[in-house]
Amino acid sequence: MDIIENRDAQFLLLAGFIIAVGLVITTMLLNSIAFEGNMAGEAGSDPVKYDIANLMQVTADEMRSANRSANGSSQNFTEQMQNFNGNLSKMYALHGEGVNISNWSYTPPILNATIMFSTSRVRANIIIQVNVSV
Amino acid sequence: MLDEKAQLHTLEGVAAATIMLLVIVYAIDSTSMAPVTSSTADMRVETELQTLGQDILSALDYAEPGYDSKLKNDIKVWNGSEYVWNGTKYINATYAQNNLTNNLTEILNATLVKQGIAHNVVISSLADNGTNVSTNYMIYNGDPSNNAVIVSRKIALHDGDIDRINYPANPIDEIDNSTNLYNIVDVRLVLWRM
Repeated sequence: MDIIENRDAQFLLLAGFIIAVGLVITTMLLNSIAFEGNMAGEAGSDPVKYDIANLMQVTADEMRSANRSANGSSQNFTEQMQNFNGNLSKMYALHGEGVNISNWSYTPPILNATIMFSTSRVRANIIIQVNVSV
Repeated sequence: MLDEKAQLHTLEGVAAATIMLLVIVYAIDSTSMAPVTSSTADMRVETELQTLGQDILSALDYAEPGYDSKLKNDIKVWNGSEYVWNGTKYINATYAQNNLTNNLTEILNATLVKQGIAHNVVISSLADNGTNVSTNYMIYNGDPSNNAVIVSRKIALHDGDIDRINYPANPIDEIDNSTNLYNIVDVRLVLWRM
Protein backbone atom coordinates (compact mmCIF):
# COMPACT_ATOMS: atom_id res chain seq x y z
CA MET A 1 0.00 0.00 0.00
CA ASP A 2 1.51 3.32 -1.11
CA ILE A 3 1.66 6.47 0.96
CA ILE A 4 -1.23 8.81 0.11
CA GLU A 5 0.12 12.16 -1.00
CA ASN A 6 -2.22 15.11 -1.17
CA ARG A 7 -1.03 18.63 -1.62
CA ASP A 8 -4.50 20.21 -1.75
CA ALA A 9 -6.01 22.58 0.91
CA GLN A 10 -2.63 23.61 2.35
CA PHE A 11 -3.70 27.20 2.79
CA LEU A 12 -6.96 26.09 4.37
CA LEU A 13 -5.10 24.11 7.03
CA LEU A 14 -2.75 27.01 7.66
CA ALA A 15 -5.68 29.38 8.07
CA GLY A 16 -7.31 27.04 10.58
CA PHE A 17 -4.08 26.87 12.58
CA ILE A 18 -3.75 30.67 12.59
CA ILE A 19 -7.37 31.06 13.71
CA ALA A 20 -6.84 28.65 16.60
CA VAL A 21 -3.76 30.56 17.76
CA GLY A 22 -5.70 33.81 17.43
CA LEU A 23 -8.52 32.47 19.60
CA VAL A 24 -6.07 31.52 22.32
CA ILE A 25 -4.45 34.95 22.25
CA THR A 26 -7.86 36.62 22.29
CA THR A 27 -8.94 34.62 25.32
CA MET A 28 -5.79 35.55 27.23
CA LEU A 29 -6.19 39.20 26.27
CA LEU A 30 -9.82 39.31 27.42
CA ASN A 31 -8.87 37.68 30.71
CA SER A 32 -6.21 40.31 31.38
CA ILE A 33 -8.53 43.16 30.43
CA ALA A 34 -11.28 41.87 32.68
CA PHE A 35 -9.12 41.88 35.80
CA GLU A 36 -6.75 44.78 35.26
CA GLY A 37 -9.57 47.26 35.67
CA ASN A 38 -10.51 45.76 39.03
CA MET A 39 -6.92 45.68 40.23
CA ALA A 40 -6.36 49.31 39.24
CA GLY A 41 -9.60 50.32 40.93
CA GLU A 42 -8.75 48.62 44.20
CA ALA A 43 -5.35 50.27 44.32
CA GLY A 44 -6.79 53.68 43.52
CA SER A 45 -7.69 54.73 47.05
CA ASP A 46 -6.06 53.83 50.32
CA PRO A 47 -8.24 54.83 53.28
CA VAL A 48 -5.58 53.81 55.81
CA LYS A 49 -3.74 57.11 55.43
CA TYR A 50 -6.85 59.00 56.55
CA ASP A 51 -7.17 56.78 59.62
CA ILE A 52 -3.52 57.35 60.53
CA ALA A 53 -3.81 61.12 60.07
CA ASN A 54 -6.96 61.21 62.20
CA LEU A 55 -5.28 59.06 64.85
CA MET A 56 -2.30 61.39 65.06
CA GLN A 57 -4.52 64.44 65.26
CA VAL A 58 -6.79 63.11 67.99
CA THR A 59 -3.79 61.84 69.99
CA ALA A 60 -2.02 65.18 69.79
CA ASP A 61 -5.20 66.98 70.88
CA GLU A 62 -5.60 64.59 73.79
CA MET A 63 -2.01 65.13 74.89
CA ARG A 64 -2.64 68.88 74.95
CA SER A 65 -5.83 68.34 76.94
CA ALA A 66 -4.06 66.01 79.38
CA ASN A 67 -1.33 68.58 79.86
CA ARG A 68 -3.87 71.29 80.69
CA SER A 69 -5.67 69.14 83.25
CA ALA A 70 -2.48 67.62 84.72
CA ASN A 71 -1.54 70.86 86.53
CA GLY A 72 2.11 69.87 86.51
CA SER A 73 1.47 66.33 87.78
CA SER A 74 3.01 63.58 85.72
CA GLN A 75 0.74 61.06 87.41
CA ASN A 76 -2.40 62.91 86.30
CA PHE A 77 -1.07 63.10 82.76
CA THR A 78 -0.25 59.38 82.73
CA GLU A 79 -3.64 58.46 84.12
CA GLN A 80 -5.50 60.38 81.45
CA MET A 81 -3.33 59.00 78.66
CA GLN A 82 -3.85 55.46 79.93
CA ASN A 83 -7.58 56.02 80.01
CA PHE A 84 -7.49 57.53 76.53
CA ASN A 85 -5.41 54.65 75.17
CA GLY A 86 -7.77 52.03 76.55
CA ASN A 87 -10.90 53.65 75.16
CA LEU A 88 -9.40 54.68 71.83
CA SER A 89 -8.27 51.13 71.11
CA LYS A 90 -11.86 49.95 71.62
CA MET A 91 -13.20 52.42 69.05
CA TYR A 92 -10.62 51.43 66.46
CA ALA A 93 -11.22 47.75 67.16
CA LEU A 94 -14.77 48.27 65.82
CA HIS A 95 -13.20 48.81 62.41
CA GLY A 96 -10.78 45.90 62.71
CA GLU A 97 -7.82 48.18 63.44
CA GLY A 98 -5.39 47.84 66.32
CA VAL A 99 -4.19 50.96 68.11
CA ASN A 100 -1.89 51.31 71.11
CA ILE A 101 -0.45 54.52 72.51
CA SER A 102 2.59 54.10 74.72
CA ASN A 103 5.92 55.55 75.76
CA TRP A 104 4.44 58.96 76.50
CA SER A 105 6.72 61.39 78.26
CA TYR A 106 5.55 64.37 80.28
CA THR A 107 8.27 67.00 79.90
CA PRO A 108 6.47 70.28 79.22
CA PRO A 109 6.55 72.11 76.93
CA ILE A 110 7.51 69.05 74.88
CA LEU A 111 5.31 65.96 75.09
CA ASN A 112 6.13 62.71 73.30
CA ALA A 113 4.20 59.53 72.59
CA THR A 114 4.45 56.47 70.41
CA ILE A 115 1.44 55.27 68.42
CA MET A 116 1.23 51.72 67.14
CA PHE A 117 -1.35 51.28 64.38
CA SER A 118 -2.04 47.97 62.71
CA THR A 119 -4.49 46.48 60.23
CA SER A 120 -4.45 43.32 58.17
CA ARG A 121 -2.30 45.10 55.54
CA VAL A 122 -0.49 47.86 57.39
CA ARG A 123 1.56 48.12 60.56
CA ALA A 124 2.99 51.47 61.60
CA ASN A 125 4.86 52.87 64.57
CA ILE A 126 4.53 56.63 64.78
CA ILE A 127 6.34 58.89 67.22
CA ILE A 128 4.61 62.21 67.75
CA GLN A 129 5.90 65.23 69.57
CA VAL A 130 3.65 68.03 70.78
CA ASN A 131 4.82 71.47 71.78
CA VAL A 132 2.27 72.80 74.26
CA SER A 133 3.81 76.24 74.46
CA VAL A 134 2.17 77.23 71.14
CA MET B 1 -0.25 27.70 -3.27
CA LEU B 2 -0.20 31.48 -3.37
CA ASP B 3 -3.65 32.84 -4.17
CA GLU B 4 -4.32 36.49 -4.81
CA LYS B 5 -8.10 36.16 -4.93
CA ALA B 6 -10.61 37.25 -2.21
CA GLN B 7 -8.27 39.76 -0.57
CA LEU B 8 -11.07 42.18 0.22
CA HIS B 9 -13.11 39.40 1.74
CA THR B 10 -10.22 38.60 4.01
CA LEU B 11 -9.84 42.21 5.11
CA GLU B 12 -13.56 42.39 5.76
CA GLY B 13 -13.32 39.32 7.98
CA VAL B 14 -10.41 40.82 9.94
CA ALA B 15 -12.29 44.09 10.45
CA ALA B 16 -15.41 42.26 11.61
CA ALA B 17 -13.35 40.21 14.09
CA THR B 18 -11.74 43.39 15.45
CA ILE B 19 -15.11 45.07 15.96
CA MET B 20 -16.47 42.01 17.75
CA LEU B 21 -13.43 41.98 20.02
CA LEU B 22 -13.88 45.64 20.92
CA VAL B 23 -17.57 45.09 21.70
CA ILE B 24 -16.75 42.18 24.00
CA VAL B 25 -14.07 44.20 25.83
CA TYR B 26 -16.48 47.10 26.33
CA ALA B 27 -19.23 44.78 27.58
CA ILE B 28 -16.94 43.07 30.09
CA ASP B 29 -15.64 46.36 31.46
CA SER B 30 -19.12 47.66 32.17
CA THR B 31 -20.65 44.53 33.70
CA SER B 32 -19.85 42.31 36.65
CA MET B 33 -18.01 39.08 36.13
CA ALA B 34 -19.67 37.34 39.08
CA PRO B 35 -22.31 38.16 41.68
CA VAL B 36 -19.71 38.86 44.33
CA THR B 37 -17.52 41.14 42.27
CA SER B 38 -18.16 44.64 41.06
CA SER B 39 -17.60 46.00 37.59
CA THR B 40 -14.91 48.52 36.76
CA ALA B 41 -17.56 51.23 36.68
CA ASP B 42 -18.77 50.33 40.20
CA MET B 43 -15.22 50.43 41.55
CA ARG B 44 -14.65 53.91 40.15
CA VAL B 45 -17.89 55.13 41.72
CA GLU B 46 -16.94 53.70 45.10
CA THR B 47 -13.50 55.28 44.96
CA GLU B 48 -15.00 58.64 44.06
CA LEU B 49 -17.51 58.41 46.93
CA GLN B 50 -14.79 57.45 49.40
CA THR B 51 -12.61 60.39 48.39
CA LEU B 52 -15.56 62.76 48.59
CA GLY B 53 -16.57 61.49 52.03
CA GLN B 54 -13.05 61.70 53.41
CA ASP B 55 -12.66 65.23 52.10
CA ILE B 56 -15.94 66.27 53.73
CA LEU B 57 -14.97 64.88 57.13
CA SER B 58 -11.42 66.24 56.89
CA ALA B 59 -12.69 69.72 56.09
CA LEU B 60 -15.20 69.63 58.95
CA ASP B 61 -12.69 68.26 61.47
CA TYR B 62 -10.01 70.88 60.82
CA ALA B 63 -9.35 73.21 63.72
CA GLU B 64 -6.71 75.71 64.74
CA PRO B 65 -4.75 74.83 67.90
CA GLY B 66 -6.79 75.69 70.95
CA TYR B 67 -10.11 75.65 69.11
CA ASP B 68 -12.68 72.95 68.45
CA SER B 69 -13.48 71.82 64.92
CA LYS B 70 -16.86 72.40 63.28
CA LEU B 71 -17.61 68.70 63.46
CA LYS B 72 -16.85 68.57 67.18
CA ASN B 73 -19.04 71.60 67.80
CA ASP B 74 -21.92 69.89 65.95
CA ILE B 75 -21.53 66.78 68.12
CA LYS B 76 -21.45 68.86 71.30
CA VAL B 77 -24.79 70.58 70.58
CA TRP B 78 -26.59 67.58 69.09
CA ASN B 79 -29.88 66.87 70.85
CA GLY B 80 -29.78 63.16 70.10
CA SER B 81 -32.65 63.25 67.58
CA GLU B 82 -32.71 61.55 64.21
CA TYR B 83 -33.19 63.70 61.11
CA VAL B 84 -34.15 62.88 57.55
CA TRP B 85 -33.83 64.83 54.31
CA ASN B 86 -37.25 65.81 53.00
CA GLY B 87 -36.13 67.37 49.74
CA THR B 88 -35.42 70.86 51.08
CA LYS B 89 -34.05 70.47 54.61
CA TYR B 90 -33.24 67.98 57.35
CA ILE B 91 -36.33 67.52 59.49
CA ASN B 92 -36.80 65.64 62.74
CA ALA B 93 -38.05 62.11 62.08
CA THR B 94 -40.47 62.40 65.02
CA TYR B 95 -41.38 66.11 65.07
CA ALA B 96 -41.29 67.38 61.49
CA GLN B 97 -41.39 71.02 62.54
CA ASN B 98 -37.87 70.75 64.02
CA ASN B 99 -35.00 71.17 61.58
CA LEU B 100 -31.30 70.37 61.79
CA THR B 101 -29.07 73.21 60.71
CA ASN B 102 -25.38 73.02 61.53
CA ASN B 103 -21.97 72.91 59.87
CA LEU B 104 -22.49 69.29 58.85
CA THR B 105 -25.81 69.87 57.12
CA GLU B 106 -24.44 72.93 55.37
CA ILE B 107 -21.62 71.02 53.74
CA LEU B 108 -23.79 67.96 53.04
CA ASN B 109 -26.35 70.16 51.34
CA ALA B 110 -23.68 71.78 49.19
CA THR B 111 -22.01 68.52 48.16
CA LEU B 112 -23.93 65.28 48.52
CA VAL B 113 -27.48 66.54 48.14
CA LYS B 114 -26.64 68.51 45.00
CA GLN B 115 -25.08 65.41 43.42
CA GLY B 116 -27.93 63.14 44.42
CA ILE B 117 -25.79 61.03 46.74
CA ALA B 118 -27.75 59.40 49.55
CA HIS B 119 -26.13 59.48 52.97
CA ASN B 120 -26.45 58.56 56.62
CA VAL B 121 -24.54 60.01 59.56
CA VAL B 122 -23.98 57.54 62.39
CA ILE B 123 -22.65 58.56 65.78
CA SER B 124 -21.05 55.80 67.86
CA SER B 125 -19.69 56.29 71.35
CA LEU B 126 -18.62 54.19 74.28
CA ALA B 127 -21.24 53.47 76.93
CA ASP B 128 -21.55 51.77 80.31
CA ASN B 129 -18.11 52.94 81.47
CA GLY B 130 -16.54 51.86 78.20
CA THR B 131 -17.85 48.31 78.17
CA ASN B 132 -20.41 48.78 75.37
CA VAL B 133 -20.85 50.85 72.24
CA SER B 134 -23.88 53.09 71.72
CA THR B 135 -24.86 53.79 68.12
CA ASN B 136 -27.34 56.46 67.05
CA TYR B 137 -28.30 58.07 63.78
CA MET B 138 -27.99 61.81 63.42
CA ILE B 139 -29.14 61.64 59.79
CA TYR B 140 -30.95 58.62 58.39
CA ASN B 141 -32.07 58.42 54.77
CA GLY B 142 -32.68 54.71 54.44
CA ASP B 143 -30.71 51.49 54.27
CA PRO B 144 -27.59 51.79 52.09
CA SER B 145 -27.11 49.76 48.93
CA ASN B 146 -24.49 47.05 48.41
CA ASN B 147 -21.97 49.49 46.93
CA ALA B 148 -22.18 51.95 49.83
CA VAL B 149 -19.00 53.52 51.18
CA ILE B 150 -18.30 54.28 54.84
CA VAL B 151 -15.83 56.91 56.00
CA SER B 152 -15.23 57.69 59.64
CA ARG B 153 -13.59 60.20 61.96
CA LYS B 154 -12.76 59.86 65.65
CA ILE B 155 -13.32 62.77 68.02
CA ALA B 156 -12.33 62.97 71.68
CA LEU B 157 -14.71 64.82 74.01
CA HIS B 158 -13.68 66.21 77.39
CA ASP B 159 -15.46 67.30 80.55
CA GLY B 160 -17.55 70.37 79.89
CA ASP B 161 -17.93 69.79 76.14
CA ILE B 162 -21.48 68.42 76.32
CA ASP B 163 -23.96 71.07 77.46
CA ARG B 164 -26.34 68.95 79.56
CA ILE B 165 -28.48 71.93 80.47
CA ASN B 166 -29.44 72.92 76.94
CA TYR B 167 -29.05 69.46 75.35
CA PRO B 168 -30.05 66.91 78.00
CA ALA B 169 -31.00 64.29 75.41
CA ASN B 170 -27.51 64.03 73.95
CA PRO B 171 -26.85 60.26 74.03
CA ILE B 172 -23.09 60.56 74.58
CA ASP B 173 -22.37 59.73 78.22
CA GLU B 174 -19.28 60.15 80.34
CA ILE B 175 -17.26 56.96 80.55
CA ASP B 176 -14.73 57.96 83.19
CA ASN B 177 -15.12 60.37 86.07
CA SER B 178 -11.52 60.14 87.23
CA THR B 179 -9.95 62.03 84.32
CA ASN B 180 -10.79 64.90 82.01
CA LEU B 181 -11.66 62.52 79.17
CA TYR B 182 -15.43 62.43 78.62
CA ASN B 183 -15.84 60.01 75.70
CA ILE B 184 -14.50 59.09 72.27
CA VAL B 185 -16.97 59.46 69.42
CA ASP B 186 -16.81 57.78 66.04
CA VAL B 187 -18.59 59.80 63.36
CA ARG B 188 -19.39 57.64 60.36
CA LEU B 189 -20.61 58.99 57.03
CA VAL B 190 -22.26 56.38 54.82
CA LEU B 191 -22.60 57.32 51.14
CA TRP B 192 -24.22 55.52 48.26
CA ARG B 193 -25.66 56.33 44.84
CA MET B 194 -29.25 55.46 44.18
